[in-house]
This record gives sequence, C-alpha cells and structure tokens, in this order.
Amino acid sequence: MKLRGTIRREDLSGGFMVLETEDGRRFPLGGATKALREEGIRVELEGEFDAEAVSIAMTGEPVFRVKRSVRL
Amino acid sequence: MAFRHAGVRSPMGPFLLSSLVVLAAVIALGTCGSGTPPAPGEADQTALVDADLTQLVVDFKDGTTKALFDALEVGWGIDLEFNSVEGVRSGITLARVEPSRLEALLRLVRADPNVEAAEPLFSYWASFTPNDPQFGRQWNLEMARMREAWDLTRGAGVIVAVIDTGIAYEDHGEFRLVPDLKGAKFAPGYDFVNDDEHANDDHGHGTHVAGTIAQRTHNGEGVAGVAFEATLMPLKVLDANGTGSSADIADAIRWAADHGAKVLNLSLGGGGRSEVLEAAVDYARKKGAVVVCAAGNGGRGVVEYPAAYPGAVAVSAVAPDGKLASYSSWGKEVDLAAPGGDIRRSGKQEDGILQNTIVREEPARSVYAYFQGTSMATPHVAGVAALLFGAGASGPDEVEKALFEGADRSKTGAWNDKYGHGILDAKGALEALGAPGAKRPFWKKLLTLLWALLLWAIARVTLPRSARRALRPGAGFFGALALTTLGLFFLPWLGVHSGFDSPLPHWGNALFGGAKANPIFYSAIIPILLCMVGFRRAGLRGLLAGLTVGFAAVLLAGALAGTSVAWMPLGALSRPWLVVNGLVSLLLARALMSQAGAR
Repeated sequence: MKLRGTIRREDLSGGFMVLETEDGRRFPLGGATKALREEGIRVELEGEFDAEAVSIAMTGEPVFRVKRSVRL
Repeated sequence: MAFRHAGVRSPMGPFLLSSLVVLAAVIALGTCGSGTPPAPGEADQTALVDADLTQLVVDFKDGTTKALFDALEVGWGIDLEFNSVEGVRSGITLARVEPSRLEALLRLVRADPNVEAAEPLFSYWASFTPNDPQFGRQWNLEMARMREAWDLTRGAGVIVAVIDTGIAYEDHGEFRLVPDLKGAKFAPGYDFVNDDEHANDDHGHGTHVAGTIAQRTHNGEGVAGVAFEATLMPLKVLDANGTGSSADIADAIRWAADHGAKVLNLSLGGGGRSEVLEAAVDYARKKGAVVVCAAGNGGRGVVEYPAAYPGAVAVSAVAPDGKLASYSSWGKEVDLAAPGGDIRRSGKQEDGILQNTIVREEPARSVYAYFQGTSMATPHVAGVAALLFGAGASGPDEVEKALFEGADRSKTGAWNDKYGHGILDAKGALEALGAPGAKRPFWKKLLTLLWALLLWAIARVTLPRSARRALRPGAGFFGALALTTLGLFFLPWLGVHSGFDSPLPHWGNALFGGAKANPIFYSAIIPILLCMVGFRRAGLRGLLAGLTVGFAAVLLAGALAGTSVAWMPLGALSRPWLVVNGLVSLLLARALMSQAGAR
C-alpha cells in the first residue's frame, strides 16, 4: 500500500522517525528508512503496516514497514 | 546481690567495659562465624567508609623530610604534599593519582623502606556520593533515593539483560565502547537482528538504557547508574530504526532467562497481544527473573504489550516534579512509576534523563544525552530490582513485593492507574525487603529500650519473691542494655557515619553488608556464647543480663515488624527464627536474674 505525508522526528526514546499523514496521525517507520532521516520532507511511501512489530516508539500507532520511498 | 556490684563504679565505666567486651566478642564471632569474608568488590558495600581511588595517602616513617620524598616521588611519577601542617611530624602525605595506576603504585610505594603505610584516601560519608562530574544533573537518581540505597548494596553479581538496540560495550568493527561504560561488567550477549555474538548498538537507545542501569559510577567520568556493580547482558532485538519482531524478542527473553539473567529490561512495546511473547515472559518469571517493561508513550489509557502481560512489571514515567509525564501511557496494568523525564512539557533538556550513549548515525561517537520516555523510566526499576536481588531477595515475588511496598506514595496516593503503587524508591524498596541497616530516628531506638525494660519487668515477675527482692540492676545492666538496644547511638553526633549506631544485632550487617538481617547476629548465638564465658562470674552477670534482655527485645521486635533474615530457606521461616531466638535470649536473661538474685 502507499502512504503520503511528511517525515518527522519524534523526541521520545532518543528519537525515531515517523510519517505524519494529512489527518495528523504519526506512524513510526521501519524497514528501508535510510533516505528518510530528514525532518520535514514530503514523501510517498510504499510498504505495509506491521501489526507484529515491536519498537521503542510505543505510541500506540502501528509501525509502517517501508519498501520504497519517493520524495515529493 | 546485685547487678550494681558489677565491679566498676563510675557510671560510664560499665558502659564502656560492656561495649569493649561485646565489640571484641562480635568481631571474633563475625570473623570466624560468617563463612567467607567479603570479596574486594563487595568490601565497601556498606559504605562505612569510601575509598577515593584518585587520591593516595603515603605515611612515611617519622622525621622523613620533604627533600627525601621529593626525591622518591620522581621515581613513582606522583606529586606528594604533606597532608597538613602536622605532616612534617607525622609524615603523612597525599598525592593525586590516576585510578588505573593506584594498585601498581600501592605495591611500589609499600615496598619502599622509608614508607610505613600507603592506602587510598578513605573518606567518611553521610551517604555514599559518587564523584562522577555530572551526577548533580541526575535529578532522577535523587528522586529514586539512590544514594541512601547504595549504602546497603550496589547490585554486585546480578545479571541484568538489556533487550534493546544493543549496547556500545566493546570495540568491534565500526563500533566503540563508550567511555562511561569502560570498566562496567558485561555477560556474553547475542544479536538477534544480525544473528551474531556482537550485540552492538546502532541507535543509542539501548546504550542509554544500559547506562541508567549500570553506568560506571564513582569513576570520575560522566554520570552514575542505578545498580553500578551489576552485570549487563547486551541482547540486540531492535534495528537502527528501533523496531523488531515479537518472535526475536521472545527468543531473547528465553535466552536471557536460560543464561542467568535475574532482571530483564524491555524498554519496548507495541503490536497486538502475542501468545509467543506472553509465554516467554511467563517462562522467564518461572525461571526466577523479574521482567520489567515500559508502559508506553501513547499518552493514553492503554498499556502496551509486553508491559500489559500479567508476568511483567509495567512502568509509567514521571517528570522531575513527580507528575505523570505528558507522553506516558497509563492503565490498569501499571505497577510502578519511575523518572522518565519530560522535556516536551518544559522545553528544558535537563528535565530529561542524562546518560552516556552514542550518536545515532555514528555508532563510534560517544555523547552524553538527555532522553525522555517510558523507555527511560523502565531501567530505573530494573536497576533497583537488581539491587534487591543483590541484597538477598529470593525471586521475582519478593522483588516485586518490595518494589511496590517501598514505593513513594506521598504524592500519588494509593494504587491508581497512572502511578501504580507509587514512584520508585530504592531505599524504601530495600527497607520493605527487610533491610535492617535502615536508619532509625533516635526516639524509635528509645522505644526498643523501653520495650526491653518491659520484657525485663515481665521476666522479673516470674522470679521467686526472694530473687525478685534481691534484684537491683546497676550501671552494668543498664550500660549493656543501652548498648544492645541503642548501639553506639552517639556516633552520628560525632560526625561518624557507620552502621554501629544501630542495635547490636544490626552490626552483622554493618560489618558484612547485605540488606537482610544477618542470621548469626540476629539469633541467641552471641548471648549464649557470652553466657558460657560469664554466667558463673557474678561480676559479669549484670552486663550479661542487660545484653540478653536487649537481644530478646530486638529479636522479638524484629519478629513483630516482619524483619527478613538472610539464609532462611523459606522467607516465612524468618519470624519463627526470631521468635525462638528471642525467647531463648529472654530465658537466658531470666536465668541470670535468678542466679544473681539467689546470692
């Protein structure tokens, strides 16, 4: 599936990257995130929600496992 | 008869005499009776005195001139100065040294014929205070009352598994050991992400968490950790994004439990309920480990898994003001709150938790960083759990009971879904475990003395009338009674802080450490041995009666208060042990009283 939004850095647990979608939800990112370390960039991500994933985020939102990303 | 014919007439005389007799007996007993002497690492656990490894004291033979030791110090590579103006006569000098060189230097210096003695500088502390330069920024350790807890134990010998992003614990490939973990103890770990034996950290989260648990402390570098003599076991289950799978985490939990970890720290969570993970938590708990987990950072009334599983201790986070952190999750599964910081609310970095870790994109670069999160609260609880194991707790039930009972409820009230049983309190937890070294105010000690006099009065009533009439306790009796129930109570007033200002049966802990009552001192053994020596000597009976009544009072009071005695195969045996030994002491006292009265 595809998701659009803005990359943000959360200030919890020493920092982790999330995708902020139009409706204000923030999904912690897993998988291929090397290109996604810059705060504020607009992106389209291709990947899947991983209901099994456990992380340092613990925000209650599921982790989105990125396969490919395109900068908008 | 009379106890007042004890032989020494001055009022302080019998007290001093009884002090000396008992002290000698106690030391003789202690050295032969308690099995192995404390190992060097454990020797300073009670922190009666604290060695400053950055200062060397050299006592030269009297009359040594500055010119002479100036010549010697060049060879030793240190700069000695007289300690005070008195130094010219006493020959006592002082030098700053590198802690790593201290041991070699001591050997070298002691071998010199001009030297009488050489040792690290010992200082007397009210409470042990580490010399780590940034310790003053660790409000979190003050909140958890760590300094007072460190007087009792520092978690030596307990393995804490850090199931996380890894730890910067070795120089390996692109990874470097961070400076403030240098000298910390590590057990072999495993990297479940990359399937190898090098569980290094490529995020920073795991190293920060490990620092809170066992940052190298009192090493003159950086910051302190909660259980700094504990052993860290690095288990990497999260990648550089800080994410991982419940299957890997379940494997790591079992691995930790199978490899001797007594405490498991899981500053992670999320996903749905996983039977595999829940079963792993149960497995670890059944193996005798405490599983401590972060409640979550959702800022909502849902506790994340694995914290929400019944076998886990769920930890919420509080800010420096003791209020629930803005991000912290809460819910019915929360067991305890601990400092996690709240930079979000105040906008101030120093409201976070400061530890040594790595820069996220550069695993070889060390940094001291303020983090916030329930991830940061969790290792405080894990560290105190390690202290409780180090103090003799037998398993997770006992550790959790002590953590919960000892929690600070002064601001949080009874159990509630935000703070659980209250805010983590290390000293309170050790007291709840039954640590007899806990400092008692003077008026409470006086209660023990009054209680002893009541027991004495009861014993007196049971004596035949003739013996009762003849019984006139004197200074020897009162001196020994005061020593046994009050201890050397005046020492703190003289500025000497030690465990000897507590009732005599506590002295076993002052000498040998441990948080549970020492079973040799907390028994009738010392009264029996002393009576074997002195029962037939009328002049000593007053002292012995005071001592035995005092022991009976302390032991029976301990039974009432639920004091835990070490080495008891079952925790429940502590009370019968104290009752039986207390009654034996009381019977001994009565026998002494009737003997003396018969004369």
